[in-house]
Amino acid sequence: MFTQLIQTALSQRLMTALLAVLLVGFGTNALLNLPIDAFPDISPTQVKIIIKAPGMTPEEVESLITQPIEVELLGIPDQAILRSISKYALSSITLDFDEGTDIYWARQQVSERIANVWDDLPGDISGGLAPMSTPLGDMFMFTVDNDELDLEEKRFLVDWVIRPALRTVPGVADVNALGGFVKTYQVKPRRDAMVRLGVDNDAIVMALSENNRNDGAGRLDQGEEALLVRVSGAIENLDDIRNILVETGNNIRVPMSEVADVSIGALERYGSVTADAEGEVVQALVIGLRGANAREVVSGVRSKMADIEQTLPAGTSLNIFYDRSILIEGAVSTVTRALLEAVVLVLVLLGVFLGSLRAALTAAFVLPLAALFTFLMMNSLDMSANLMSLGGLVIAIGMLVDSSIVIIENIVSALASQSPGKKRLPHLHIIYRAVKEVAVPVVSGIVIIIIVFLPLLTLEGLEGKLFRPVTLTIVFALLGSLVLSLTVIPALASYTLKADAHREPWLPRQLLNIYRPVLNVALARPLLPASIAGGLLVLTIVIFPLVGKTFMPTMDEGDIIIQLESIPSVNLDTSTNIVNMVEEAILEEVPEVVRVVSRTGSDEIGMDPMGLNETDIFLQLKPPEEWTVSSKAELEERLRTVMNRFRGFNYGFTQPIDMRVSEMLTGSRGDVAIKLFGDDLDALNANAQQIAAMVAGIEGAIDTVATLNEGAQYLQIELDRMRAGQLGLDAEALQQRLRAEVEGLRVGTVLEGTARVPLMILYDDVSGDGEEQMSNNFITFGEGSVMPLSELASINRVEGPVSISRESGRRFAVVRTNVEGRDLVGFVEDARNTLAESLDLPEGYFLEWGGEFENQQRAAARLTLVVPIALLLIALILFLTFRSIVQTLLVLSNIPFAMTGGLIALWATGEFLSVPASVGFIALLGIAVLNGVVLMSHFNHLRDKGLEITEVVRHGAQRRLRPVMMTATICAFGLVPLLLATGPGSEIQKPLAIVVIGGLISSTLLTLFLFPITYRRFVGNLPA
Amino acid sequence: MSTLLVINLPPALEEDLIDYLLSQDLVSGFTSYETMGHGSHGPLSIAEQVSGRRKRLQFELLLDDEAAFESIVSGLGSNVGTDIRYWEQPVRNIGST
Amino acid sequence: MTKLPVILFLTLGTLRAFGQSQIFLDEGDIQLLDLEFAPVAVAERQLGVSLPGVVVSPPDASSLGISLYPGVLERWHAAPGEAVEAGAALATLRSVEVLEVQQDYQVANTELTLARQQHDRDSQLFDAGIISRRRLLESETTLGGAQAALRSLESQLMVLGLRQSDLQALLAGEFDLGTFTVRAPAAATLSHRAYVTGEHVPANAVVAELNGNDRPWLSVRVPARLSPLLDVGGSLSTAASGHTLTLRQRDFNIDVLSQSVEVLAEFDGQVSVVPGQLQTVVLHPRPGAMLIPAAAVVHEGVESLVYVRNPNGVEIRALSLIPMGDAYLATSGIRAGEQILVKGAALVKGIQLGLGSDE
Repeated sequence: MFTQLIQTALSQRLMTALLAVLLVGFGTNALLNLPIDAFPDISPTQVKIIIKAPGMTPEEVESLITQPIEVELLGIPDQAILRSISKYALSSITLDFDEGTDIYWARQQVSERIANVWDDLPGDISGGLAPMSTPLGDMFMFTVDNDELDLEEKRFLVDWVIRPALRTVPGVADVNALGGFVKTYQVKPRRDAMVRLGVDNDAIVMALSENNRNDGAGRLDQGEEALLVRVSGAIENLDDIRNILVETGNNIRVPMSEVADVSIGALERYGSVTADAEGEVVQALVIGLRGANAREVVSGVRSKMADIEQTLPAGTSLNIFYDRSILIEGAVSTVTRALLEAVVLVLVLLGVFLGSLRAALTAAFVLPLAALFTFLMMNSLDMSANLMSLGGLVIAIGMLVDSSIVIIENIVSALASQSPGKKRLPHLHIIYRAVKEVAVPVVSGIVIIIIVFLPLLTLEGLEGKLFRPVTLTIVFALLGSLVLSLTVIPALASYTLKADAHREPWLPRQLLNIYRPVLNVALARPLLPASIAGGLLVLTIVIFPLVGKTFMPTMDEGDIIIQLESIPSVNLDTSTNIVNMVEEAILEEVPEVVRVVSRTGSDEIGMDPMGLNETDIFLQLKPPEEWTVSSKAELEERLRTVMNRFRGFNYGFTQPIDMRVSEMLTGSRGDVAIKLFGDDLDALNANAQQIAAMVAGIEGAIDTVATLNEGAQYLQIELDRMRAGQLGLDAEALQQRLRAEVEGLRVGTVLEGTARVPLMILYDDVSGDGEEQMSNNFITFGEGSVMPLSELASINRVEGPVSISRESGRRFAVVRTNVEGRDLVGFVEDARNTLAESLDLPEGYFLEWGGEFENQQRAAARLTLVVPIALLLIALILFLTFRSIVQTLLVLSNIPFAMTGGLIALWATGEFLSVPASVGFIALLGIAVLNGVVLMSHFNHLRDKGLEITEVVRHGAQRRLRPVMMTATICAFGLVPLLLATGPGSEIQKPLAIVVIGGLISSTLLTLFLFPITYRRFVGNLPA
Repeated sequence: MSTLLVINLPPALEEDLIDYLLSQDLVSGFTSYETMGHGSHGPLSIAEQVSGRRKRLQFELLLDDEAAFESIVSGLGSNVGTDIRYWEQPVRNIGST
Repeated sequence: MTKLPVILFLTLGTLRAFGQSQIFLDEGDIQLLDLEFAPVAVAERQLGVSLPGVVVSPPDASSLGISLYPGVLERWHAAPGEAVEAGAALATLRSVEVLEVQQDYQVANTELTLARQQHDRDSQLFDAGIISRRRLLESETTLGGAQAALRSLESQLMVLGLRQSDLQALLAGEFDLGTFTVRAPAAATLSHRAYVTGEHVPANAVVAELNGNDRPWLSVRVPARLSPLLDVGGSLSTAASGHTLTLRQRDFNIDVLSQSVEVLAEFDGQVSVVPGQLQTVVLHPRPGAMLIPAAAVVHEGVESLVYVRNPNGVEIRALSLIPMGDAYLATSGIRAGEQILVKGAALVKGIQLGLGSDE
């Protein structure tokens, strides 16, 4: 079958060339259009609901908002996990769907359900579905600085000038504004005036909301023209508000200025932003759409920013402190560099082995063609070029040239063995013959490698999303290289290679000179290599438990985030001051930090609902060349030293993408997340603290923390309904009035150009002792009568939870920890044992282990299932190729010896068995088998020719030395750039490179010395 | 006097034989065809035992002189392989269009 | 193997949570966390709340001049602070109802005269035997009724402050009809005029307050939120002159207009103030109460805590606090001169709760 293909390609060389040119054209086009990002899209299909409920405590939010919605959402099909968090004034519910669910359908389902239940929810809530973004959507952040403007003005700029402009950039989902003060028009009623004139809260609210409108009244015909009538009643400035008339108790109306003070104020803040220990600043954060190309979005944003910078007030500068595209550039350039280095190495080696630059170039020609073919396939499947997919290409480089090496090498040999003077066979025929001779083993070898990778497509979850691109690119590249090696390469070789018998080049000759005697020794004393091999196997079995197991090496994103957590009852100003203190210390003691931007509390939209006591401190670092420390780990140590001196708050380290990814996948951050499920908040809290204490004592635990979920201070006001009812006061009116008192009640909007400024009612600032103030707070009734709140309600200061987290309808508390200096699985084992012994949980409470660890378990389980299947498939193909069980087993026996080298290399370098390392082992399977297959078929052929068995293996092995050495060394050297790379993303590919290189060494040695012996022993004397 | 040299060999050695024959100066052309072998010569694989026959190839060469015959068959063993049978048949007339 | 340290850890942790009263801090911590201490001082007398007050006569005034009828006050005959004798005229009022009574009196007088004349004639006639005894009795009865009516009106008018001379003037037609006089019931000093000339006085209103030699009182309207500062028996002082007062009465009803309560305090000594005089008065914390700034107080559960400095760090102390304006008063549990943490309390509370590293 292949012979037909080869024949056609060689006979119709022109058409082959044309096809190649077409491939180059389409492939280049695909390459240019390929979206580029750092990571593949690893977000699950996820819909988030954010509801703001001003003034409600976590428990109220949970029972009145979160639970009803959860119940409603439970009916949606295809859902994976339902998680929620109820905080002060906020409910955030996240629903993950099964893989492959369409996001638009999912959003629609959720939307419908919420509409069903909306009316049953408390009155003055707002919110709904969060913007369609992924947690990786935070791609660009900058501060807005200007010495002349104050915080309110800067915030105004962001909200009403910068945000609308940036939202027009394609791919931008939204722009989040943080920090500063939000301007409001503030109406402060005076109590004594209200009493004297008999005005109650409702009257003021009504007056304001009804007197703020521009309306159309219709159209008048004027001769042949029309005049549009517009009633202009909207508020335009403070005086307009002052002149609004309010209904009094005596049925007369007075202007607002008699009853209230009208001024410019600010909204109650839920968060603040500080920078560089210089106090508060205002920040903008660009969120990208799901599926958007980050680089394009960022460049669009940058150019838009340049456009509007001129329109901003003089002295305004927009200072960027996080730009995702830098990471992308870094990651892509790491991979690209590795790619180019690999290509160069491959070329050099080819030349050295083949002794002819032409031959080397011909063989290497498959590289760009296969790469272009891969890009073409990637484009047609809508894949993006990212760390993982390009990494797959780099991994495949060594393997890509395998097939063409074998073929070219055979061609060169065939051409070289044409004895001069004798009648020459046709040139094309020689080439055809050379290709045909190795076609079957090459094809089955490559097919085996492809099959070996296919099971990786069944990985689930995060590892599936990360490694699917790797697998796909490898498969495409290999397929492409296979087809090209059988068609284009021979056609090309027919032009470039001439039949000239030259001596074998220097390197192969030297290798042969070394090999021959050693092989003879081995053949003479077969037990020697056999026992060495056996010894290595035993060593492997011994080492295996010693190698640590983990999920994924963490990528160094280049930025560091420090997370702070102070006492739950802290107020925003104090929290901000604490952060300022920390910023100062960091800037003073760690020179590698260029800029520090900290965000405390939550943003306006509520996408990231942090409490007032939670802070994310963003550290912008200098380029690594300018550091005084030698590694990131050392830098972190330094920072840790600074942070450890502080007391009174918790802290932890993370990175921008890492933080979001963990949150997104498991709902919490950290390598290991221990979730305790139960019903009673106090019990959950107490047990969580206990667990944290125990876990912190285990070796390798670092940054262990159980969020202090109690100690938030609440002033509980319980209305005496009878009394209130007697006075004609209902709970909702009272609540509105109290909200207006403390936080401010929004009653409308004033339009300032395109800006929408809230119009608020806010009573006196409540100062001094809160309980006192509230008790003596006076509530007015319609006819001007007044009563203190303490007569209508009981007012108590209580402590309560900060937030209530739920998963699948059950409450839980979480203990998070990171692991350093040892492997994840071992750590979790220890932790499990410790907790099993020492922890006593109440009935009905149970633990679940999650975080990175969960991923590792799932990946390991899947791989354990999938690898044997791959082996079975390989066996099947081998059998089809050789039609002999003995021979199949013989080739398969190569595999353990290949693994040996990989595992030893892993152990020797101190790396852990992670998912990339497992992928490396899988790649190794295929490569080891390939060499065995090629060698075996040559042996078989020689045996068919009737040679005596020892001669068969001796000549066969010597003849195949060169191709075996070539495939092995080129594959290995092709991975050396990955081994030595240091840029972002290199950490992920490194274990893979280590495994494959180590495995190649051992498998090649064993192929060259052990395989001939075993062939002779087991196959030699069987009938042909 | 022309003779027809018939060479009967296992399919695995096909390419080797072709190369060998093509490299012989005294050979200008030959034909080949697949055929089946029966009998108990040589070892049989399981499939061959089951079907009672094995695949063979047969090549026919027209030779002019005895020297050609000698030079060809003497090199068969070393250049091509084992399990090759050959015989020579006389040819009465040769022609072409 | 890891059990023992874990148990120790837990024990220490639990002990720390419950029995904790000391937090260890060293100089380095204090510097680094930017903690500030300040000595606790007695809440000074000057540190009180200033309020406007009005001097008033004691609530249980020894005598009052009351107007029985409603009317318009025409003129005052005595000034505040003036000593008057019993029966002295204090104020003259004009009233429609009084006019009617006075007119009735005049009519009654005329009727009496007529009845007497009739009786005299009838008595002559009876003596002459012209009329019967029965007719004589009739005119005697009429005469008696007229006399009674006159006497009744007379006494009413006398209560209204008319004297004999006034009555005679009234009968003579020389009296200013419709007026009546409020007179001092006893010898005293006029301390307070409740109404001004031209003002309408309702029936049974106190028109004038007279004082013996009692000490004056002060009426202050105190915003209801400060009312915890008001203990009967507590002390106030005037801002300007420094006179002290003792709080005698406080009203528990809250006035709708001003959202305050009325408090009455009596001057401790003789002062030369007159009722109606305005004085700025200072409401003091209780003696010995310590002033605690709001920034020094953290709350845990229902407790209020402050951090008191000691050689090893700080002591956690629970106090019972009274809010006063933007700060608090502590009446026990803390002494003057003790140093408390006034900046960084949130961080120290974090240490207390176990946040962050322990060193």
